[in-house]
Amino acid sequence: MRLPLSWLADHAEFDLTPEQLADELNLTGTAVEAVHYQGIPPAEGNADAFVIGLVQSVEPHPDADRLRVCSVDIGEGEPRQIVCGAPNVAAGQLVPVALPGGVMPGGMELKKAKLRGVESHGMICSEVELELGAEANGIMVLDVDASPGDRLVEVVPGVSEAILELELTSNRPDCQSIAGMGREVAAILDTEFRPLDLREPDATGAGEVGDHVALSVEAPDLCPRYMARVFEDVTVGPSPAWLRRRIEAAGMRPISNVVDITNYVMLLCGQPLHAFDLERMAGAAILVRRAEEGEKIVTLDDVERTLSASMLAICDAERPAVIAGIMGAADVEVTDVTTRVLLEAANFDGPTILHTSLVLGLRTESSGRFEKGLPICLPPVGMTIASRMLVELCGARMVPGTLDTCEPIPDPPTIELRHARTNLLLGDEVDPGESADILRRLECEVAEGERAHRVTVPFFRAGDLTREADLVEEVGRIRRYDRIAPRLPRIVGRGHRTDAQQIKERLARRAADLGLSQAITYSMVPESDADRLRMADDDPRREVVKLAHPLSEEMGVLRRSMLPGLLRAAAHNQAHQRAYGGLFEFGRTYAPAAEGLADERDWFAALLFGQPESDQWRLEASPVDFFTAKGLIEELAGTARVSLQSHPNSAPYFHPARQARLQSGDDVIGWAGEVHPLVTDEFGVRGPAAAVVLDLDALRAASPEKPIQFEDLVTVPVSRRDLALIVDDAVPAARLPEVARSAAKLVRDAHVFDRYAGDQVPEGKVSLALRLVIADPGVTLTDEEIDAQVRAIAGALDAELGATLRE
Amino acid sequence: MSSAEDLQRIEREALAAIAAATTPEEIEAARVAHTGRKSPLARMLAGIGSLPPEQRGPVGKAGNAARQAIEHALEERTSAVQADALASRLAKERVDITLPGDRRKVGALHPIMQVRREIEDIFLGMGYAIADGPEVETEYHNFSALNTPEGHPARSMSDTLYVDGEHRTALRPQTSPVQVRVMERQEPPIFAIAPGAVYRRDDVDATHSPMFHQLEGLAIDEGLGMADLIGTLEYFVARFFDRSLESRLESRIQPHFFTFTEPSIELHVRWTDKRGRSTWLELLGAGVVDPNVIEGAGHDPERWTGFAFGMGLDRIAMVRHGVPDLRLMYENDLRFLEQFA
Repeated sequence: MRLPLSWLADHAEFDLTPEQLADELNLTGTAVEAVHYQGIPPAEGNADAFVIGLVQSVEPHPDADRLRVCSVDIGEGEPRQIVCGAPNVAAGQLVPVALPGGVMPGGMELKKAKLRGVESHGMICSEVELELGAEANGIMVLDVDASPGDRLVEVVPGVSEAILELELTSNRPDCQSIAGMGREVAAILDTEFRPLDLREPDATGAGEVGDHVALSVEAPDLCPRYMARVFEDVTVGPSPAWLRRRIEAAGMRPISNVVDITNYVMLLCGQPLHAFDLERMAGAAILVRRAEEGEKIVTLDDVERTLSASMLAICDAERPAVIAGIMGAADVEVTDVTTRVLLEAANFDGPTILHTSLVLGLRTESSGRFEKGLPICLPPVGMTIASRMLVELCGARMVPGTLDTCEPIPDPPTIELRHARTNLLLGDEVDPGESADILRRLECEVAEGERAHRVTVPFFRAGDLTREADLVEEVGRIRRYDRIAPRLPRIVGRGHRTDAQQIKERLARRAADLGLSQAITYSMVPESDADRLRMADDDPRREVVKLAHPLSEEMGVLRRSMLPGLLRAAAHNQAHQRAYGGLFEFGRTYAPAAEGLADERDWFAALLFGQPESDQWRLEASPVDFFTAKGLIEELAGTARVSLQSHPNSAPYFHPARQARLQSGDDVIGWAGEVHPLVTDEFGVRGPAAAVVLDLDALRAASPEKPIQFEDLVTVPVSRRDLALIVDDAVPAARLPEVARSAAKLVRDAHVFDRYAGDQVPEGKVSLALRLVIADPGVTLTDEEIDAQVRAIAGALDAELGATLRE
Repeated sequence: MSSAEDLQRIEREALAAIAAATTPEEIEAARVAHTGRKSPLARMLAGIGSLPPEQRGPVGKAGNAARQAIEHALEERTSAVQADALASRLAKERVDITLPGDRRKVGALHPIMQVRREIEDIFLGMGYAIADGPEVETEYHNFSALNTPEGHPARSMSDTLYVDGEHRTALRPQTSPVQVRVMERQEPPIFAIAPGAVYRRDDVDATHSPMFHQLEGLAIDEGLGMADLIGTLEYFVARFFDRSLESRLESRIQPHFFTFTEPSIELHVRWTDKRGRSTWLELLGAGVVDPNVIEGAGHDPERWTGFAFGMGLDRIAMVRHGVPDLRLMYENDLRFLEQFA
């Protein structure tokens, strides 16, 4: 909302610069988005540079047909010579003159100038140059009671305007008007509020309002109040300049005096009004009813709109004339030839207006006010002010009487405000006298008490102030929160990460240390991802949670797999100068659940893509393949002290022969594999790609809770023996350490550290190097004991796997 | 020539030869030549027996002294030559120390997650737990329990991503439902934060994303009020922006309106951007928890009071790191991410 300060000054006293006032408003709950200036800039002394001039004579310019040389009295004794290009300048006019040194709207400083050889000691301004209007035909001619030399800012209202751009919160519909803001400003500054002038005009029209129009409200639930008056002999024409200027400063467009008056009154007091051409209302009737399903109306903006039964329409005897509270039909609007006007001031149900406005995609100044819920006491205020203006500015004669259907007006609520509760919620000692004073400034009635105040809320705050806590907020904000001494609560909570949260932290840190960067991809994915991942038609992972109103098909469902997001990110990188890289992500998948919510699971996933090249002069890049992925998942699980065993796996999106399911005992912890080449193609990823996925719940469950226990491998020798073994190619390498461990209880570590197949070993065989670490915590083993262990291992390898020691 | 003179000459010649040796081989040759069995000194000492008895003692003594001097010179020369050899070898091993060291590439944590972790750490230090909840949430937890009235724009399908046609479940539009769940399952006192992804029906542009991240906090205890909230927020601002409480970033409280807190505030900080422009920046929304919310979760609002706050992690990360466009946060472009390593 735009708040012109010259208009605000009609209703509240404030002796502050626009910036100071903006600060005060910000600190009391009315957010000021910006301060705009219009017209003469507010720089120090600048107002003195814009004065009233009396044109004494106009002579042709000796050297230019279009220029005139004027002699202008600006109250200095001697007139000034000013060159002017406007065709309408004439002797005897009162005009606005800008003097050299003055800063023009827009920031340019005016200088003494020579125009085609003739000196000009100032400039006669147009309305455009003073930012008083959007267009002008020549200079501005003033029709004011003023003398040459008078400062323009004192003669022309709004010629130096500051406008606050406000962002109002939804609980303060009462602030959506100049007068409402006047009340707020007076309350926060503790100055005088100047109330609205509510004098009624004389009713000099013929007959009685009921003779002119019949009113019927069929939907009082959506329209608790409808007031109507009739005006005759209305002369429609342009509004006076001051009215146009105020409407423009507030951000609306002047149209004609009748329409401008309805807008002006809405801006002034917050009550939207509607003016009809009564001659064009079929049957001279107003019927307020729910729209019929499919009913059509062509609104003022020339759009045909289709109404539904949840909307409210103001109809004449035949058709809808207005979408209630939002916009009227073109064919009942006031025009240049209108002489009989019906003026509406009504109250509509806020949620209905909001709903209609959203469904139709039509939001207006009027709907924006109604949608927040306006007080039922407000229509008479708007009606009175607008009536007087129609009489005074349009020559209208008001027909006696007012049609008014009004549902019972509830008594203003009375709320108990306990002093102890004020102090508790604010965390400060508030003097009850101060809280009473603040509430009275807000126009509450306060009956002060020892223990509590009894507070009666004014009608315009009845929707917002309904409970004790609401009053505490009013006291707190107007009293200012910076008066409260900050303090910290006691510490009673846990204050540390859970095991699961700690594991996630360690995984993130380790993944980053291993060179992967953290991605965040959207949970919403296209349903077609299941095809891209080569899921079988009956794969249960095709069952997805669908969004009811997705933003696009690309974000139509919630993901069941972490891979597509990372693959898309990889493709993005490859398209943007990164042929290879590594990404990881913590994310959720969502499966439809039998009842209500989704089955949500948390994962860690990582993707290595493209063939890395070393960018170091001494280090080799490691390839991206199954073993990179396997090593990665093992290292990551190691951060949770979980060791993994590989099992065959058959996911459709992985290379059929290069993937594994990683388990800790019987518990599945994750998967690792090369991404299937058809899948990388599908996502536009070039080169190899390998992925790992960790089930975070499973990893946490497998992670030992017991602290690591020391074993004495420090004071005793630890023996290392390497065995070179020839085995059948079909024997899984992991069997060797397994057999070794079960054959000898003192094996601390056993792993295959080299593999060879080729000329040196027979066809169908492979040579594997097995490293054994043998030790007994706290016991020094003899060579014989170690040899016995190794013999037992070699025997078992031979017996169980046919592995023979290589000579 | 006397034996004494001979000895002096022998010793002088030997020491000169040793001093002239510059390699281990030359030292060895000098050792053989001057202390070996065929050396003049050996021959001289071997001839002692043929000397008159009165000369044997002095000559023998002088001979041994000469031998010791020569051997000492040999030792010294050996270590000197070895030291020279080592020094010259090491000198030849000179490298260009300005060549790059061996570095493994380190990845980056996402800037949003870095901000999240830092804020978590600050509140962990104040005794808060980190809570989590479902992202597909009930209409009750998303709205009703937070005092959001029926017909409120936030409930509309143009704002919220519903997962069913009847609008009973939706992707949570804020992390606040986690607060409600914490209050439902836990008796006060409660001190918890809830970071996580949230969803709105916004098209992607420079400042909007249908998925973004919030961090929500909740404190419920006996006697908590606005003073505790302000103190907590001031401490947070000082810690997060890495200043002391005394020189903390200038901040101010602006009253505001939220449905689930009453009174409600926003915390604004005085922020100077990369170009040196200084503005008030909204950092977070907060307030004293509305009694309806506490009562709705099954606790006595007369006994238990508290405060809640919520902030947008994406925006804080953007402001802190000068990231101009929110889309950068979700493109997962390594040229962007690796800047935060």
